[in-house]
Amino acid sequence: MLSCRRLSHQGHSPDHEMKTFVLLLLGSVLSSFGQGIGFDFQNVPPGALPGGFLTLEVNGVTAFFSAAGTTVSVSPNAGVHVLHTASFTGQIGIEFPVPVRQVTLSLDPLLPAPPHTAAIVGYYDRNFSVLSIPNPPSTSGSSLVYSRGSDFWGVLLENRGNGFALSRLVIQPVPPAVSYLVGAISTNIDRQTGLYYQQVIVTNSGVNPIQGLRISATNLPAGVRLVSATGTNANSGTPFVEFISSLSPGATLALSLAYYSFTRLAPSEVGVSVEAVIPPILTASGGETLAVRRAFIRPDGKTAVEFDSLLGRSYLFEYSDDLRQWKQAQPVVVGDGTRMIWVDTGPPGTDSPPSASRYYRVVLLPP
Amino acid sequence: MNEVTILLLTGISLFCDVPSLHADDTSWLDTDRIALGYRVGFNISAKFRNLGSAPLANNPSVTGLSYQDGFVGTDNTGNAGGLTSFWGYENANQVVDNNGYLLMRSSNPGALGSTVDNGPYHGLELSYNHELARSKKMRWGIEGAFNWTDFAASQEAAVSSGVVAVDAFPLGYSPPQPPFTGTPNATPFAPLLGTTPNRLPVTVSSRLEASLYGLRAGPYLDVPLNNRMLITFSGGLALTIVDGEYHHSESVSTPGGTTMTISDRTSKVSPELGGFVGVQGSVRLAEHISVFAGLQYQGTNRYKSRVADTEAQIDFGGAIYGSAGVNFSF
Repeated sequence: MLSCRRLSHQGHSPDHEMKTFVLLLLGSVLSSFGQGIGFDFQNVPPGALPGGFLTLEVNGVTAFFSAAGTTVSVSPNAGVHVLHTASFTGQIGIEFPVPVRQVTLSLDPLLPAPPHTAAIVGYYDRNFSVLSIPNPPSTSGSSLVYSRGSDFWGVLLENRGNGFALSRLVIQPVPPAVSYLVGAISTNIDRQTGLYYQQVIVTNSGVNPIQGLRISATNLPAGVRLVSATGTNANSGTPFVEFISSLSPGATLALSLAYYSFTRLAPSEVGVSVEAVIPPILTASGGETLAVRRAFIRPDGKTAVEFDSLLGRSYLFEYSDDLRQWKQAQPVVVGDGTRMIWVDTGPPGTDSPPSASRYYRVVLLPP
Repeated sequence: MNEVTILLLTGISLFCDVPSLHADDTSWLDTDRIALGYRVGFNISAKFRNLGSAPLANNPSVTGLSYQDGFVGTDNTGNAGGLTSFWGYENANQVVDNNGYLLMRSSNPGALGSTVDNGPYHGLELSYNHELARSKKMRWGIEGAFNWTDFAASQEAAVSSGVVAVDAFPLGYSPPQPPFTGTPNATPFAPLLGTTPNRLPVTVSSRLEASLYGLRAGPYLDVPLNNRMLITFSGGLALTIVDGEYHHSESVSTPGGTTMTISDRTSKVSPELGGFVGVQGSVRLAEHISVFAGLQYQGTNRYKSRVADTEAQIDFGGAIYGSAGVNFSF
C-alpha cells in the first residue's frame, strides 16, 4: 500500500540542512508489518504534524518529510522498506505500526563517502507528541541503540553531518523474543465441551512489547485437531492460533489450547511453538446477534456459555465488560443442531481470563 | 380369620347365654326396628401397581432399558471412551450429587410389592328394617342401611428393576438446560455423558387411606327361634362410596449418598356398586330392645386411584363384615 498525503500545517524548522536519506528498515517484526495490518497513520491526531510535510506509507511504516521538491521512491523488497530521497533537507519522522522500546540506528555499509552523521533526536508517544532526546548521540560509521523504558510509536531522525547528498540509514527495531513453557495436555476430557486442554505460559523475554502471538501445534495425531486454531500454515499445513495481546517486556501470559480428539483419547506428543507476530485485526462480518441461553462460571473458573445452534451454521462469540464495546472471541463454532456449550478459557480465545463481570452474546454468521 | 371366629362365638353366646332374661312369649310383634352397631371388615385388600408409561424418543438406550425421562444412545464415535454426545434428559431434578450424575428412570407395568391386607377395618352401621308381611313362622320386609368403614393400607418395598429402574449416569458438569437432546454426530462443544450407569435400588412407599361409606338395601327374612331369639337373613344391593387418598413416594439413594424422594398424592371419590348377603342373630333383652350379631358377605367393584404412573386398588371382592349392636323395635 502506498499513499501520499500533503498536510496543511506550516513547515518544520529547517535549521539543519538535510541531505538525502535512504531508510532501510529491517527486522523480523517489520517483516510481519506487511501482512495487511492496514496501518494508515492512525496514531497521528489531526493537526499534530507540522505543515508542509509529505507523508509516505509503505506496508504500514510511515515516513514523513519536511522538504519540498523531494524525490521519493519506495521499493519494498522481501520486507525491506527502502526510501530513496534526493536533495532532501529537514527532519524525517518515522512512525511504527506497533510500539517499540528499542531500535537500532546504523549507517548502511554501502554508504558512499563520509561524513555521514544521523541521529534520533526524538520519540513519538501515543499522541504523536515528540519527546526530544537531549544531546542525542549520532551515528558516525557505527550503530547506535536507542531505547526507552516505555513504549514509543516512532522516531524523529535528523542529519547532523554536513554536505552529504546521498546516504542510507538502517532503522531496525530489536526483534521480539518470547520464551514459553508448554504444559502437558490434560489426561481427562472436559465432558462439557468434549475437549482436551493444554496450558502454555508465554513470557516476553525481549526488550520490545509484543503485540500478538502465534502458537502452532505440530505432530497432531490422526483424528485430533486444534480447536483453537485460527489459521493454517500454507506451507506446512500446521494449524496455529493467532491472537492480539499486548505483552510488555518481562510479562507472562497463560494460554489454554483446546484439542478435539475423535477417539476421545488424550492427544500425545503434540509439539507446540510460540512466536511473536502481529496478527490481523478481527472484523465483524455481519450476522444476526443472538442472546445466549445462559452463561455461568464453572468450578475451574472458566465461563461456560450455553446456546442453541442450527446444524452446520457458524457462530461467533462476542464478549464485553461494559455492554458497549464488544470483542470477538475465537474460534468460530460450527453448530450441531442442538444446545451447545462454548467455554471461555481466556487467552487465546479471549484477550484475558474470564470474570464474573464479562457479558457474552453470540452472532449467527451468514451461511 | 380369628376375629371372625371370635365374633361368631360372641354371637352364639348372645343367643344362648342370657338365662336371666324373662322374655315375653308373645314378643316379636313389632314391625319396624332400627339398629346401631359396630361393624368390622375383613378380607379387603389393597394392591399397588406400576403402570409404566411411554419412553422418550431415541430409546431403548445403550443399557437395554427405555427411560421415560431421557435416553443414552450411540454417537458416531461408537461411544469412544465410554462417552456419548447422543443423549438427552427432561428435568433439572435428574441432575444430582452436585452435577456428578444424571438420573434416568425406566418404568414398566408390574406390581409394586405384594397385596396388602391390614384388616380388620373398623366402622359403624345404622340400619332400618320394615316388615311387610309375616306368616306363622317367619316374617319378611325390606332393609336399608348406611355404614362407614375406615380403611387404610400401606407398604414400603424394594422394587424389581424390571418394574422401576433408576440409573445414574456419570456427568461431572452442569449440563445444558432441560429438555435437552444431544447430537449423534459428536463435535467440539457437544456435551458428553458417561454410558455406564450405576443402577440404584429403588424403594417405593405406598399408602392408601379411605373412608368407605356404604348404602345397602334389600329384602330380609326374620325367623324367630323362640320369644327371645331371632335369626335374620338379608341380601340385596350395596353401594360403597370410596373417598380415598393415595400417597406414593419413590426413593433412591444416589451414588453420592443423597436420598432422593419423589412423592405424589391424589384424592378420589368413587361409587362402587355391589351386592351383599348376610345373616344376623338377635337376642331380646327387653320388650323393644335386643342385641344382635351377624356376618355379611359383600362383593363390590374394585376402587382404583392413579397418581403419576402408579395405581392403587381396593379389592372388595370377598369382603366379609361382622357386626354387633343394639336393635330398637317399634
